[in-house]
Amino acid sequence: MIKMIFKQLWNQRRQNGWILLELIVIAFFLFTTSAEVVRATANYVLPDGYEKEKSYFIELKEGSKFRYARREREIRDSIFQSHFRQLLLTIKQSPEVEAVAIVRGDSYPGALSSNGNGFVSDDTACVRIKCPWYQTFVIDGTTDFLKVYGLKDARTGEPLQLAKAKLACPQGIVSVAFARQLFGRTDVTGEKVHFGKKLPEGSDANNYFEIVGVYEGYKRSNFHVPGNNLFVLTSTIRGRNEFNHVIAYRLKEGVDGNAFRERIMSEIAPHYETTPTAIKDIKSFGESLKRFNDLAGAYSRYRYTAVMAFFVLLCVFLGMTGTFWVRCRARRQEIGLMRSIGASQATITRQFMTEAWMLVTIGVLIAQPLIIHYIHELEWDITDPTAHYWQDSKTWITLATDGLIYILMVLIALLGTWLPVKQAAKDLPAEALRDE
Amino acid sequence: MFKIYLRQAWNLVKQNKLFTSIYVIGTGLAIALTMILFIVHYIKFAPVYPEENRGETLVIRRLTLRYNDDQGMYQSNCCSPYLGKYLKEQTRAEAVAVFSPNTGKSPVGIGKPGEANQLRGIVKLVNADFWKLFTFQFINGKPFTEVDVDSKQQVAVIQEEIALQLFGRTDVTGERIQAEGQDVKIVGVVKNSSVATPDSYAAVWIPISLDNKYSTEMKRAELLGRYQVYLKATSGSEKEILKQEVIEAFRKYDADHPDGIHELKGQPVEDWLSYYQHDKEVSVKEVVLELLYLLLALLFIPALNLSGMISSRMDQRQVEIGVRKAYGASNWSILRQVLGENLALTVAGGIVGLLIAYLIIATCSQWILSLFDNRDLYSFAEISPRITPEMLFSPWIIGCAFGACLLLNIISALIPTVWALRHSIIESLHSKL
Repeated sequence: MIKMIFKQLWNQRRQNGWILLELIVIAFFLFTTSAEVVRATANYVLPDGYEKEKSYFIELKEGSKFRYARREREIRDSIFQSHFRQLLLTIKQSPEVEAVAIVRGDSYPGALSSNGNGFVSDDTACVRIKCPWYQTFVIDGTTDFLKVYGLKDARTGEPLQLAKAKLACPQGIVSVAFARQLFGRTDVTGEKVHFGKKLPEGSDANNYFEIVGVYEGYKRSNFHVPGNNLFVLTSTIRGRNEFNHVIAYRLKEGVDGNAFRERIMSEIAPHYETTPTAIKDIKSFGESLKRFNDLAGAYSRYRYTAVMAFFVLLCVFLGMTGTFWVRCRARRQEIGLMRSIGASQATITRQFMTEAWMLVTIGVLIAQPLIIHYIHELEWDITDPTAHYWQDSKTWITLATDGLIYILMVLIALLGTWLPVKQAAKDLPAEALRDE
Repeated sequence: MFKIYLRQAWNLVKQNKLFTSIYVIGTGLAIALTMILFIVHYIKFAPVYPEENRGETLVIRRLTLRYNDDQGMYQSNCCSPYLGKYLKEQTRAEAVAVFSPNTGKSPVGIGKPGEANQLRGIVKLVNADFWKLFTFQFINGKPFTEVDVDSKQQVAVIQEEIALQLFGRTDVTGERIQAEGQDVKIVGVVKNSSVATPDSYAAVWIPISLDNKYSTEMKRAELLGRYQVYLKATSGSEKEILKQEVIEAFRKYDADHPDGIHELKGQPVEDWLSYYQHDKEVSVKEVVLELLYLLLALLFIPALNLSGMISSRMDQRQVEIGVRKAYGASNWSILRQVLGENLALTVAGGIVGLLIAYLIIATCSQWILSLFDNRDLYSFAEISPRITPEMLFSPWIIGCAFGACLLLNIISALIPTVWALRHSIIESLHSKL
């Protein structure tokens, strides 16, 4: 039967040529719009690496009537810090709150800041790597950032515990991707990491930190794989800068986040209106991520792909319906003959649908050289080359996207063919042969 | 003759209802998406209120300062107010507007004194030249001046809708409001603008000098900061001269401050090109090729579809063509007839498509403007962009719709018809379907 259908297709090559050309163009176009989204979706389903449910952060601003006037810098710092501590304690002592953390202004999920500087290890033979996102937490007796963020230990998968409790020297925790890229291994607790370059001993105490923990991958946005990022731990709030620090908190199970947010804004915020730590806004980690994704255009890309896929698949549907409708009319005699020698409606429908399936298959196969050329030329950012995620492989993305567009095109083409063929196959043989 | 073509086209429509329906839907779909592409880009790049000077505008969005001797670098999304003043001195720009960007901004509380959170809206910090670059229509009062900015006057210009929501009237000059923690006096009310013009949009505009950090930008990198700098050339043709003056101004600054070099990365760029320039330099060629690829896909795929159907129909009409040729009709007159018939259908589809495009833009304004972008510039205000009739019913848009119809008609009908006309009269008369 396949051989016969091939012959049919070949005999009507001029009429089939148009629809085949359209299928080739659509296969290529669908691929170019979908490959990126297939990759982003594969990234999206990876675990976040931290707990975003129930975690919020409070953005601060300088109060409307508060003025530092001409006070000295040290005095300004101390005014800011005393108000900051007071607000922190107020939040921490709320019965709804499980834990609080002091976080630098760019150290929450979805923060817009990025870092272009490099990091090196103690071993100068090691490569210098870039870490696009490094974050700072202030740790002291009041705060528990590990609980607020819910980071997990890379070795055990359990909640991360710090190797050392005291801060004798600058300390930090790094993601498993960071450890692998800089050291080539993950058991790096106790190793030193230098900012930019290794300075001579004793020249700058803040130019390095010691690793006190390695956590599982931590996704900066929903649509990227967990990359190389790190947290530097410090015991002090530096300077007076309401933009540079936020208060993060995690709510207890069963607490309504929105209700608590409203309570803060109505009961706590007014007390700080005229202080250097007036409350500007409260966002959940989820809302912050959404804003990041909006700005990065992640959702726009999905919409674009969905709209374009809908458009071209509708074109396939209309093309198949139109072409097969015209062809069924032209082949009424053939259909009549087939019916008169005993072919059932189902047999005729199956034959035409097999033709449509073969056209789509041939179209997608012919588009492959174009697709391979496109994917070969595509710039491909790999967040973590040491992790070997399947979605970072061009081959796997090509196969996955090809499979997806092939299934979509076959389904739409079969539907577009079935409608006119079903109609034509209903004709009685005598009626169909009358034209002969 | 044209009447005969139309009558024949109408008869064909009546005879082949399914063909006509598929043709009109296919054309409408292609035209709808093509028009959405046109309208979205028209709103972004054409001179629309209050960004009517887009054709004369050059933009600096981000700066990098690379220190000598491997001392690292500063990269900033924007520039400092000082850069605005410096460029005003060093160039012949008609206006150098410095203002806070909306990227990453969230609406803040706005209200009468003591009722700070009556409304939520975007508050923008701007200098006096902002009002020269953007052509806001003042329905009450006037813009604040350079003197107001320099003397840190607590003044504001507000949108008409904010005035109406807060006071129930628009003649509110002299009234006081609170915006982003500032107690300010209203000096002007402007006709509403839309989030669809995100560079200029705000609910309230206050002097840039009211920013707490106005005079405390980084000492080592005084040209870097948190603002955008837009320059207005005296005319479109003067832009290239102005661009060279800006580059020269930076070169001069770097020569006077030898500890580092500013990287402009192709800036200042034309207003429309700045939409595409995020992290790296983008060339005009790259942008145009991308748009052409999209346009080609939007018109070429349906054209192939229609060509396939027209080709099949031309096979059915071979006998008719043979008879007409036998009675002396030239290939050109038959070609004209077929193109005319199809143009009638294409225009019908085009009108349907244009209406669909308007409907989609009106109902999906929340996300439609960022459909073709790699980032969303319109979600910051948390309200849907208002699409005005000026943006939708421009002669350019109607002209583009007709042009797209014509192009689609020619691409889809020409080749099948020419192929059908290649048969001899005998072959045509013998053909039977």
